[in-house]
Amino acid sequence: MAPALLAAAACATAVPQTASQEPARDDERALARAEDERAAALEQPLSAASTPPDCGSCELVGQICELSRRICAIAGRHRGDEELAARCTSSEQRCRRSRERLPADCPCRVR
Amino acid sequence: MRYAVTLFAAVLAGCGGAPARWIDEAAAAHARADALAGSGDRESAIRILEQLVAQPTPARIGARDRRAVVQDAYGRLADLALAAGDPARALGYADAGLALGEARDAFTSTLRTFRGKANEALGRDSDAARDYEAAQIVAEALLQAAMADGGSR
Repeated sequence: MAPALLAAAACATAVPQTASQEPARDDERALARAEDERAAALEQPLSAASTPPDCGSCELVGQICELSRRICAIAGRHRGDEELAARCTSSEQRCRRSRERLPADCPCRVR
Repeated sequence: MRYAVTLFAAVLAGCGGAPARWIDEAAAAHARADALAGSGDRESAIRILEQLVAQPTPARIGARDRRAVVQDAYGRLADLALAAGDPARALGYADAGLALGEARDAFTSTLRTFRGKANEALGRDSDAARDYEAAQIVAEALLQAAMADGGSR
């Protein structure tokens, strides 16, 4: 069934509709939409692979992680201070979260 | 971030009159401070930036723009004072900058970072950790906004 439906969907999208044609039925329109979405999804990895990763936020992530390093260095000097230890843990989470926001192939992401 | 005046110079170039003059003076002050700090004369650089933050702001400058330019200058002052080995003075500059208001922007994050460095140098570790954390929270919010905008900042 699927090839026939896809063929119908392809026709529905490929042939421009004229005033003399009957309006497309709802299920045909839905199929056409699904096909468009599938084509877009297939195209996405290709375009992502052909453009370099956007690593413009690397500097900001570096600052976030540097602040975490400073907070944890202070916590390290005050072992037993639970408040500082908690700040260190939270700051490390922020650093990790920030790195994870960057595209996977940014060189600054893993350090 | 550091040279907020350059950004505002472009925005306000068409204003003419007092706002444009104020921006020109701020840009010139930063340029002079750069040259002086570069030649090792930090004290003169500090004096020039102190004059900049003490100047009255023209009425037509928006409060947010004024805050950005003045906080930017206070950030540089704090940085210069830290480099000169004077954390107490750096703390004073950071506090003066932050007293103008805090927001989720690079100016607040920078001033909080310098405040943290000053406190740490003064042996106030708990205060320093709080400042660093505040700076980090703002920086993370900025990153979030930048990534939502397309990740190119």
